[in-house]
Amino acid sequence: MNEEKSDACGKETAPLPEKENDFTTELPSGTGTPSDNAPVIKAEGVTYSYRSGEQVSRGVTGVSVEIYPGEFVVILGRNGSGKSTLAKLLNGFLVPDEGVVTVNGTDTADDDKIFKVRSEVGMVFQNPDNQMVASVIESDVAFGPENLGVPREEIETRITEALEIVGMESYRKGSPNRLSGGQKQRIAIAAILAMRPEVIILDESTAMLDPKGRREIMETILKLKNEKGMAVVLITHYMDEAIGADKIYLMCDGEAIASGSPREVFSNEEAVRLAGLELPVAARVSLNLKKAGLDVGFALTDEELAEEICALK
Amino acid sequence: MRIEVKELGFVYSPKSPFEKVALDDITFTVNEGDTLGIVGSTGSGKSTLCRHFNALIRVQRGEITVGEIRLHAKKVDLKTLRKNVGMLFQFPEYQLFADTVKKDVEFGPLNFGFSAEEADAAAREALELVGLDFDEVASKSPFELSGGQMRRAAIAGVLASRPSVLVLDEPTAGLDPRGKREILELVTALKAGVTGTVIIISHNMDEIAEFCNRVVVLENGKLLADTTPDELFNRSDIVERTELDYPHTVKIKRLLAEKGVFIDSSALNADELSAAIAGRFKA
Amino acid sequence: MKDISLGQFYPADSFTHKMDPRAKLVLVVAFIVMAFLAKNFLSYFAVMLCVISATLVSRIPILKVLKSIKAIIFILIFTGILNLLFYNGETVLWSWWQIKITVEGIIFSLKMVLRLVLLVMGTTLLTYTTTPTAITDGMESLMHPLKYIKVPVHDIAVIMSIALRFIPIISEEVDKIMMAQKARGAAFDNGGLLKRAKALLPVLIPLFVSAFRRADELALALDARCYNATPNRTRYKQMKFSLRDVLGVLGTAAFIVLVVALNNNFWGAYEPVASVWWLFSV
Repeated sequence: MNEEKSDACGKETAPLPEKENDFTTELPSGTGTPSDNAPVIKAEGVTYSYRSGEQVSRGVTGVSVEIYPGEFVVILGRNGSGKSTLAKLLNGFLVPDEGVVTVNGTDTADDDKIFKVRSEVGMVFQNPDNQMVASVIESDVAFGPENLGVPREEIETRITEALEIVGMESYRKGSPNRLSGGQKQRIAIAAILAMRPEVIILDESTAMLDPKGRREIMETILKLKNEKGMAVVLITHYMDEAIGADKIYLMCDGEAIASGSPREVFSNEEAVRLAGLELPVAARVSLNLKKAGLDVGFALTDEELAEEICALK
Repeated sequence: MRIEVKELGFVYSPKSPFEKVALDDITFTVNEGDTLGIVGSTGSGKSTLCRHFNALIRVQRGEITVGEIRLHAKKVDLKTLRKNVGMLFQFPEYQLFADTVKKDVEFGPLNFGFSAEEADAAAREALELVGLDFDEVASKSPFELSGGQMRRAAIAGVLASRPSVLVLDEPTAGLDPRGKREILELVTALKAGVTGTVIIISHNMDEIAEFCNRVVVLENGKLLADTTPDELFNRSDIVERTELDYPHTVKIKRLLAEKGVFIDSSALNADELSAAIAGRFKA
Repeated sequence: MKDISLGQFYPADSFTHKMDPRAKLVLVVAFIVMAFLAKNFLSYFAVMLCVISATLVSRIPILKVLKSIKAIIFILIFTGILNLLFYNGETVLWSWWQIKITVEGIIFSLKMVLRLVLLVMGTTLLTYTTTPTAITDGMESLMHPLKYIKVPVHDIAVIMSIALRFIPIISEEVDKIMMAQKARGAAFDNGGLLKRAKALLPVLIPLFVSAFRRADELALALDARCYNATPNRTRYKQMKFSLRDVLGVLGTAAFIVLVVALNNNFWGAYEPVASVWWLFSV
């Protein structure tokens, strides 16, 4: 679905100007990558194409990604940019045509170890309704650990733990049917957490939610990162969800056209324009003001912008 | 067309253990030419309210009058009503069904008694309006289109009946920024005269601020406010109580005001706001 | 439409609600057998007593259980009249052409109707006191031995569970699509059979498209949760047979004995009270 071929970015293959902005140098970037550890997921020069009959359509081309423990990584791009394809390559749903993806050193192309990979890299999808298998919440959360053969007593503690992190413990015995979208999606996250993965990938898991639901998911992500030290990969087209990320990969027509801290990527106007995305209002205003000749630094959030403007006085 | 809602009440599964009050004593009027935003958290009754406007839900208590049609009457001319009140559901691309885009768009007009030629002309007009090339897509299967195109084809299916009131339920939900832009440009075009009255249900306050001249706020089935977007975003009590967001532009202005920088402008998008701020500091 | 999700489950805190679903399933089967075994009114009376006592124990208003009969009222009337008119009895009360009403016919049709009523009441009691999920779990557990003859019991259970989960979702979706097409002037309730069937296409096609889309994502979600990762799958939910279930089984066994005994006229115990005897022995 939604694999839309875009002309806007496909034809312009000229090399992108790298960090031609003057903001990033003077500002601290992100929270820093824990580069002293080994990455949990490592994708090197990965290429994948979809084939149906004679037709071949490009999914991703030559993308390299590294996900470190405890990192919040956002893969940004519009529909058809290859972001979901990339996500599915990271947990072995798809196996690259070229290049290698390893999870804790295990090649995802190794069929015998595919369940090891999937239990270490959990994935949550777009529509929360399509990922629940049971009509009672605790049974649904138990499904993953059951499949892995986790002993009964431990499943019990895992359910409690998983539901507590997402703040849904009081719904344990209830049915998912009457929950809000955000609540359902939190249950879907808990169902993955109960498998104790090291990385959780959210494949457009905020796309169908209302603002409240999206906020709930963003809060959950930060909790997982800060309290559990988990790596979280969020696939999205909302730039404002990427503001708090440690690292962003900006996808356009199957390629990662920019990567780095939110500050680095967002201030790369050319790349954002090519990717067909929309900067957060604060960032847009700060860039406009700079162009208008005011001495305003690049702002990511409304609060930062207000600070910058007040500094003008 | 004018819509008058008077003391409207609605209860789901009345007299059962699952009874739920969805609307309670709602009174307001939508004037000809209004672009009305309906906001409130999920489950506040927005969709239930809108489904009354073309009698998908029949009036239980209270009164609704759409143009000359009294919806609380025993017999309602559904055909005339539904031709005049077009309704776009959430994720409307999920209701496409015909084997070609043209047939799908003509479905409404033919149901409403357009002749084959009239329906053909209406389909052309509607597809042009939503920015799809008739010759290119007419004979395609709707399922071959991209996500954004499917959404626009579905909108064309509603516009083709030439409604005088258009109700849009979360028209941009789930679309990427470009898809969103396209739909919003379409709404602007509609406001410019194709459709008399537009009603938008949305969670996105930036959209409400930019497009609506009036807004009603629902909370648990009750009407909390009937006002203009500008005024609504000055009422922090209502905005915060109903967990609505401020549009970013409003939020920035509020943050600045807290710090003693007052931007005297009703700017509701980034460019207007930039100009207002630049103007203030350059002067 | 949303309430379909709860099935017919009637939440209450009772003996029957807390019973093991497997015990309840077995009991319902035993009850059905009992209803078919019953021969005379006296044994029917015993079966009825069984349902009524079970209803009382389950704390479900008896009216609520009786209401379930409304659903089959036409079948009841049809069965009753057919048997009444065409039963080949001897004591003719009234006859016309091929049709005759006999005393035996009246008695037989009354019994048929009574049997249907009892069957519906008994099974309703199961669905009122047991969630669909529990019924599925119970069935899976009861089917467990079939695993040894290579029946994929667990897969069947997952399929049943997913089906239960999706019934409310799909029914809500049907609702939404129908509304959307009605808004475009579709009418579903007029015209002949063919016209009506055709009018449903704008609902059925989007429904199928969406079902396939859902199935796609569901398949990925099952994979993401390591479905079929190991043959040594564990089970979180354990069902425990308790004293309650033993009591239930004993009670039902007692009723079966009673029905059989009454069927056989208590081996002659009722003979002295001749008029009562006639009423119950037919």
